[in-house]
Amino acid sequence: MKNQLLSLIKEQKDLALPDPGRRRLLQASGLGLAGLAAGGTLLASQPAKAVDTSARIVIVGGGAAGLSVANRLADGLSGARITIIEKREQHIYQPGLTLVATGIWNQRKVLDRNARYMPSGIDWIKGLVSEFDPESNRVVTDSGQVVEYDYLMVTTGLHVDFAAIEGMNTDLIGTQGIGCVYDNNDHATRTWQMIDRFAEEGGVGLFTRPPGGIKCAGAPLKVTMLTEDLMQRRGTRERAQFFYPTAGTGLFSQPDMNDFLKQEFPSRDITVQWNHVLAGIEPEIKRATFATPEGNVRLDYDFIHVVPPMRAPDALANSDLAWQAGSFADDGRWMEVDKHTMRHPRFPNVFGAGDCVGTPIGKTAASVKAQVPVAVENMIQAIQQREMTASYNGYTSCPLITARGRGILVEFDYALDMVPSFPFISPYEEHWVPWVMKDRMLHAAYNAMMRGRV
Amino acid sequence: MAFSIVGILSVLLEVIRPLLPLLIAVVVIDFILLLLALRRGTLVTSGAIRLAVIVGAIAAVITFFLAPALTRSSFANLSGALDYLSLIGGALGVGVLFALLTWPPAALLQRSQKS
Ligand SMILES: Cc1cc2nc3c(=O)[nH]c(=O)nc-3n(C[C@H](O)[C@H](O)[C@H](O)COP(=O)(O)OP(=O)(O)OC[C@H]3O[C@@H](n4cnc5c(N)ncnc54)[C@H](O)[C@@H]3O)c2cc1C
Repeated sequence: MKNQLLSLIKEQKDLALPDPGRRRLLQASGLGLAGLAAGGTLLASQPAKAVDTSARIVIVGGGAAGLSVANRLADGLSGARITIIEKREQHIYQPGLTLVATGIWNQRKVLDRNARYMPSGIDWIKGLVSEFDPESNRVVTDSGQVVEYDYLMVTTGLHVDFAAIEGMNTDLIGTQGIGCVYDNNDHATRTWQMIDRFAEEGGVGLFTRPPGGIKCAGAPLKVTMLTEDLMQRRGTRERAQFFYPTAGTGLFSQPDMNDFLKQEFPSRDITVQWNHVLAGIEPEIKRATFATPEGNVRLDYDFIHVVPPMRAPDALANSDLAWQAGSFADDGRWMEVDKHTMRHPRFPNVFGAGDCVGTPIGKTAASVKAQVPVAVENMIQAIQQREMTASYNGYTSCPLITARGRGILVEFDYALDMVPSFPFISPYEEHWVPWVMKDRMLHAAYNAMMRGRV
Repeated sequence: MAFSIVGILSVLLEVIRPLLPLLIAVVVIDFILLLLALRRGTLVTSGAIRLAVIVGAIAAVITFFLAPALTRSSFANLSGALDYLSLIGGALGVGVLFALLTWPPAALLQRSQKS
C-alpha cells in the first residue's frame, strides 16, 4: 500500500513531496487514500471526507482561481463559513480572447456568468476589496464593509496597466489601428476589426511585448502568428511588414520553445526588435515610442498590438501581503507566497493562487489548475493544524497556436523541463491536435476546473 | 499534469453540457426502443445489425472528411501519425456511436417489415 500510494503521488506531477517527513505525515494522515479508492489521481489531493470546522474563510476575487477554490473548499470542509468577495456578475473566458481578436471565435463564446459556478452555501459579497489588513485578519470592501476572517485566500488576478503607456487608454482599442487582447470581449472584437482591416490593407504591424510577468505570455506571440497566417491565407502577406518589439532578449521562457520561435519568426519574415519597451503612443499620427538601451525610438505603424505591463491590483500591491523587496516586488508588487506551498511566509493563515501571486513562472489558467488544489489542501491542513503536504511544482501550459489549425502543446515546470500531460503529444512539434484542444476542449477543461473537478 | 478518468469525464461532461437535454432525450428514446426490440426478440437480427453498421460507417466516413473543417482547419494542417490517428479514432468513435443509436430503431424496423 505504501509503495502504491507513493507511486500514485509521484505520478501526480503537481504533488511533489519535498522531504521524507512530509511523506510519512501524508501516509499517517491517510490523505490521498480517497484518491486511491476513487481509482485516480483527481481526488488524491483531496481529504477523504469533509473536515469539520467553524473557521471563517474569505476568498478575495471570484475569477478562474477564486471559483475553483470556492468549490474545492465547499467540498472539503463542513461547517466552515466561506465568503467570496467579487464584484463582477459576468465571467469572461479569457483564454478565448485571442481567438476572438483574430476573428476565429465570436465573442459570445467567451461570455459566462459567475453564478453558474458559485457553490451553494457560501456568501457572495458583490464588491471589491479596497484594503487588506492581515495584521488584524480583516479586509475592507469598497463600500466600507469590514470582513473578518480566520483564513484568507487571495485570488484577485492582476491589473493590466494601460496607464503605464503614455497616451494609451482602453477606449482607444479598436480605433486608429490599435488592438489589445488583454481587456474584455468587446475590445477583443474591436481588435479583430483592426486586424481584419490591417490584413486587407497591409502596412507596418507592430506586435509588442512588455517587460515582466504577464498573463499568458504566449498570447502576444499567438496574435502575431495568427495575424501573419491570416494574411497568408488571404494572399495579402506581401502588403505588410511585421515587427515584434519585445522588452527582453528572448521570446519565451522555456528554452526549447525560445529556440523554436527564434527560427520561426525570421522564417515568416517577422522582425524581432530586442530591448524595445513600449513607452508611449500617439494615436492621431499612428506613432509609437519605445524605450531602448540606445534611447527612445519612434516607429510609425498601421496596426499596433498593445500589450501593457501588468502588476498586482492596487489594494494588494499596497498591502503587507505584497513582496516587500526583490524581483517580485520590483516587477509587479505581486503577492508573496512560498512558491511550493502557496502560503504567505509572513502571514501563515493567508494563501494565494492565480495571476496575483509572485512565483517564477505561472499566470495561466493551466497554472491555476495546478495551484488551486495545492493551496486548498494546504489551507485545510493548516485548519487542522497539520503539516502541509501539498506542493506546486510550477506547472504551466500554453497551447502555442502557430497558425489557424496548428499548434504546439507546451507544458513545463519551475525547472523549465517539459512535463507533457499526454506523452503521445510532442511538446516540440506543430500538430493539428493541440489546435483542436484549444478550439474544442480547453474551455470545457477550464469550466471543469472552476467547478473544482479537475 | 495528470488527468484522472474522473477528471477526463468531468471535462467531457462540460463539452456536452450545452447539448445535454437533447442528448438525454435521444438516449432515453433509444433505450425505450431497445427495450421494445428486446421484448419482440428482434434486436439481434442480421438486417438490423447490417443497417446499424452501414449508418455507423457512413457517419465515420463523413466525420473523417468533415472534422478538419468543423474545427476551422483543413487537411493541410494535419501532420504525422498523431494527427491522422486522432482523426481516424475520432471518426471511428462517432461511427460506433451512430451505429449503437441506430441499432434499436433498425431492429424495430426489421420487425415491422417482417410482420
Ligand atoms: C488574452 C488572454 C489569453 C490567455 N490565454 C490563456 C491560455 O491559452 N491558456 C491558459 O492557461 N491561460 C490563458 N490566459 C490566462 C488566464 O486567463 C488567467 O491566468 C486566469 O484567468 C487567471 O485566473 P485568476 O483567477 O488568477 O484571475 P482572473 O480570472 O482574472 O480573476 C480575478 C478576479 O478577481 C477579481 N478582483 C480583482 N481585484 C479584486 C479586489 N480588489 N477585490 C475583489 N475581487 C477582485 C476580478 O474581478 C476577477 O473576477 C489568457 C489570458 C488572456 C487575457
